[in-house]
Amino acid sequence: MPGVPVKLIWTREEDMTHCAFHPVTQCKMTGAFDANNNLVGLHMRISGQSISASLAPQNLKDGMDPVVFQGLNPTGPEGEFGYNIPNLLIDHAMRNTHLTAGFWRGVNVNHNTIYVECFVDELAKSVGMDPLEFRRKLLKPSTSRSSTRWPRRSVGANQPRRACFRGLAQNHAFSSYVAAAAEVSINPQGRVKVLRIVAATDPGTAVNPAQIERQVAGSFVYGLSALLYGEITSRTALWSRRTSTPTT
Amino acid sequence: MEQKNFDTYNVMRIAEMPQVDVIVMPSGGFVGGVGEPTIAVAAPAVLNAIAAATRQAHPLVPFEEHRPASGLSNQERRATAALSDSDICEAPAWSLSAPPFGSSGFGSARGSLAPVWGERWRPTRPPAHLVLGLHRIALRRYAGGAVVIGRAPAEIVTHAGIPHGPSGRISIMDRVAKGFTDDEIKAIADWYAGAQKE
Repeated sequence: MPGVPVKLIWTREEDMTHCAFHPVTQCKMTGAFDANNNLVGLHMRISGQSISASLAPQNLKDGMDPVVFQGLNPTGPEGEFGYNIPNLLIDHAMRNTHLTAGFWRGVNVNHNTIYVECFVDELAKSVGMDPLEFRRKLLKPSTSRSSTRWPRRSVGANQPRRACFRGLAQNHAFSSYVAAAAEVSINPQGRVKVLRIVAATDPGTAVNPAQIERQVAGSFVYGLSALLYGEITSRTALWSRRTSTPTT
Repeated sequence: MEQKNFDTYNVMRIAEMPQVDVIVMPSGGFVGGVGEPTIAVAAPAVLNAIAAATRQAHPLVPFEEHRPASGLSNQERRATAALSDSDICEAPAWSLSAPPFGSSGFGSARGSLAPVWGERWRPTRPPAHLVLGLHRIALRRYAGGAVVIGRAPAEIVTHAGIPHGPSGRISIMDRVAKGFTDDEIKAIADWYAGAQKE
C-alpha cells in the first residue's frame, strides 16, 4: 500500500537482541605502599571493549580510545582522577568482541569508579585504615575539600539505625564532584538490603537545586538497578537473557 | 519468540528503593553534570558496604544470575532487596558504641565484627514508606553556596567560567564541546536577569 505509513514496534524481547550494551571490561589493579603505609604507587590496567571502536572508530587516536579514561584523566571535564598518588599508571588494553558496545548512561565512568573506589577500600583495609580517612589522606586538596565534607554532615551525624554496614564512593566526572555513602544490612542468610544512601553533589553552580535533588535520587534507581539486575549474557552473539528467564 | 510483560523485566522496584538523603553543596564554577556522575557512585558505595559486612570483595558487577553471590538466585535477590525492617538483624555492638568518625568510626566494621551475625531478630514495624511502597527523599538539604538566582548577569558569566576540577585546570572552554558556549551562558544569565525583574 504505497503512501500508507507503517508503524513498526519491536517487542522488548526482540529489542534486547539487537541493542548495543555497556562495554564488558575488567581491571587489574596493583598498589604499593612505603614503609610508613603511604600509598606511593598505583597501576590500573583496564581491559575490555571500546565504545568508540564499536560506534565511532573515527574518534580513535593512534588506535587508542581516550574516552575509556573517563573519570581517570589527568585533567579535564570528562573526569579527573582525584587521588594524589606519586606514581600512577592507568592504561587500557583494548579487547573488542564481535558484540557492539554502546553508550550506557554514565558511559565509562561507571566501571572506572567501581574499580577505583572498591580498590581504594581494599588498600585502606590492607593498612588497617578507616576508608574515609584513607581517602582524605589521598585526595587532592580541592577534591578533599568538596567531597569529604558530606559524610560529617550526614551519615556520620547519626549512629547507624540498625545493623548496617557502610560503604563510600566518590568521583569527579562531567565537572562535578559526587560522593555517596550506602548503608547496607545483610541477614544471616546473606541477603542484602540497601537501607539508606546519603549522596552529596557539588555541581559547581546550582541553577535549580530542587531539580538536582531529584536527579540525584533518581540516579540511584538507575545505578542500583544496574548493579542488582542489570546482567545480560550472550551466547554466540545471541543475547540470551531477553527477560528475567534465561532462554538458553 | 514469546512476548512477555514488564513483570519479567529486571529493574529495581519501588519498594526496594532505599531512602536517599541528598545534599546539594555547590562550590561555584562551571555548571557540571548531575545524573551521570551520581549513577557511577551507586554501585561502588553499596559494594564497599557489602565488602565491609562480608569482609570480602565482590569481583563481578552486575550481580550475576547464573553464578549468584552468596548462593542467591536473582529471584531470591529480589526478595532480599524487598526485605522489611523486621527482617534486619539487631545491630552488633560496634555500631552502637563506636563514634561516627575517628579511628574506630566509619567503616570500622572490618576486623571488629563478631564472627557471625547475631541470630536474634528485631521485629519492628516497617517505616511507612516501605508499607506504602513509596521511596522518599528524606532529608533534603541544601548546603548553600553558588546559586544563580539573585545574581547579576555579569557575575553569573564570570562565575560559570571559574575552573572546577581537582587540579583547578578545567575551564569553560573545556566544556564547549559538550556544554554551553560563553554566548549561551550570557544568554542564560540575561534570561535570569529578566526573570528576576518579572
